[in-house]
Amino acid sequence: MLRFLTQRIMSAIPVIFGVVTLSFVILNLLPGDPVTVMLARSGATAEQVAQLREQLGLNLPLWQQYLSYVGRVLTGDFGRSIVSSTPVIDTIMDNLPATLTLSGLAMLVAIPVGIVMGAVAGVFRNSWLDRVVMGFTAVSVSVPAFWIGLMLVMLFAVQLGWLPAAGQGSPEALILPVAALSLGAISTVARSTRTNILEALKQDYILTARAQGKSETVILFRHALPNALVPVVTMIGLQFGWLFSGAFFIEAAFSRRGLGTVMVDAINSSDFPVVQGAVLFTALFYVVLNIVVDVLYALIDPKITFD
Amino acid sequence: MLTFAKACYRHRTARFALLTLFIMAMLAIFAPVIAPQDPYETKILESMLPPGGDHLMGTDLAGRDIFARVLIGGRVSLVIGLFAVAISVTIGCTIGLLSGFYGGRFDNIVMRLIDVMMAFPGILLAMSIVAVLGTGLVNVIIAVGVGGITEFARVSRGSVLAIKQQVYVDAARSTGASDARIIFRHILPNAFPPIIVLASMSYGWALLSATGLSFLGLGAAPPAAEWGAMLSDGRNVMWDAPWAAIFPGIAILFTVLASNLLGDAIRDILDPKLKV
Repeated sequence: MLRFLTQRIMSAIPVIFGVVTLSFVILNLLPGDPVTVMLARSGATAEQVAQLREQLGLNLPLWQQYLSYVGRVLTGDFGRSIVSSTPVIDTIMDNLPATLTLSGLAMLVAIPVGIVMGAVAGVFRNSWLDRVVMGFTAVSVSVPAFWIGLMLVMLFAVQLGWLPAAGQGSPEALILPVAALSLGAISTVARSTRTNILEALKQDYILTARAQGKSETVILFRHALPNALVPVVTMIGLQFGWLFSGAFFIEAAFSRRGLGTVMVDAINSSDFPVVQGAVLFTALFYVVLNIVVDVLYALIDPKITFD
Repeated sequence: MLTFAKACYRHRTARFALLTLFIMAMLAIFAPVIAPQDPYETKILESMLPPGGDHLMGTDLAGRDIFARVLIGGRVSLVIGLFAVAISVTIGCTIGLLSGFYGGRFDNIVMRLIDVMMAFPGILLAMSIVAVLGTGLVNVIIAVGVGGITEFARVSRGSVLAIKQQVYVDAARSTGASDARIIFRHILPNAFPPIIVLASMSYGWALLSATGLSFLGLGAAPPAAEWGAMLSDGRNVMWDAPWAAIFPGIAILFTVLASNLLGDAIRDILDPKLKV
């Protein structure tokens, strides 16, 4: 187990390194100079531009900038915001809990709901239930989650007045955003569960179980479902990454603070260090998440051994 | 090709999806003729009128006709998706084809790069590109297009690896065909099916991403009739004029649903075992 874990972490190192490099490349090699863009609006003098360039280390050769960037990132220093001059990592950490809560709750809702829907659709294949579930999944991956959010607000906040339309003060304020965000993930989990259940039901061990005279319930819960759910776990990691960035849009739709609003504000004010920090942080988070999922996968799948 | 068209016609889902996309495209193309009003003309006295009467889908805060704006917006949104997918397909497939065909160290390096790019959820990559290039429609197209490159590179490389082993490729090589000839005449046409399926599905993704970026205010600028920007406008008047946000969303739903269904259907038709 320990060897598997070390191996998995080692294999992630080049990816992490690449992610850091790419985030540097995107913001440094593409056309558009942060300082010029930023100061053009405020009408700064050439002297101020030069001063800021020096302050940000932009006057150094590119490779030196790169090395110092990697060094700083490794020590958890993501630079300072050009606009507010607070450390980027502080801004990220202040806003991370809100985004994490939103996407985490959406995931917690999506896993059981998606699995149940997918299992029902798979077991009752080609029935009206199957058609309803499949229709639902097809529609919900075809609309922007933020639009679903707006529709939910119109129904439950504007028309019925049951839930708050925006903000993040009370726990109730989370219900609609979580519902809107989880819909896409529910569909993906449901579709994957359905496919895997159909696949599992075709296997020889199901035939054996039937031959032994086991009831259909036992066959489903003891034999088909556990086998069908193993591949679903890998997908959950991927989905969480999507939910995390999907939360950016939901935050905008519900006027909630979070990493998404930080990112949009930073893009609009050309606050490059903040954009860079938020992007890098999210990507690193995604890489770590996938390691965790791989380990989980190895733990629950008895077919994987650690020798 | 003809048999493929026939098969599409016989496939019920494909027929529905193609018909929907065809109608959307026609509505967009003939929007200026069909639109009952000028989509940009503001009439303060007709602000936030409910659907009905002169305004099939009502009016927005500035009194602009929403039906006209959805039609004209279709021109923008549908084209954004097309261009973005074109960028993803061209760059992604070129990378995938070359990487799969030449293999070896080149392939190794390219694939590690793709791994790194895949560590960024597509929409995040798109957002950071918009951050650098600046906001605006053209930059959103580029950003969304770049965000989709990895998938095409991965899928096209996968099929090249399989096709490379085929006897007809060996045969072509033994007749002295150049690499370019083998790639364009023998590999590319055979690698097409999964790429077409992916392109159809990516179109939906690209349209959703682009409207999302516009919704965040990073794409089409305010007066522009673009579905995402219209949703953003509609959000502000949600309490008094819900129709302003409902109809652009329905237009997105139909377009994306149709392109996803078309992708599914083409996959069924071309090869039921194919996985993208």
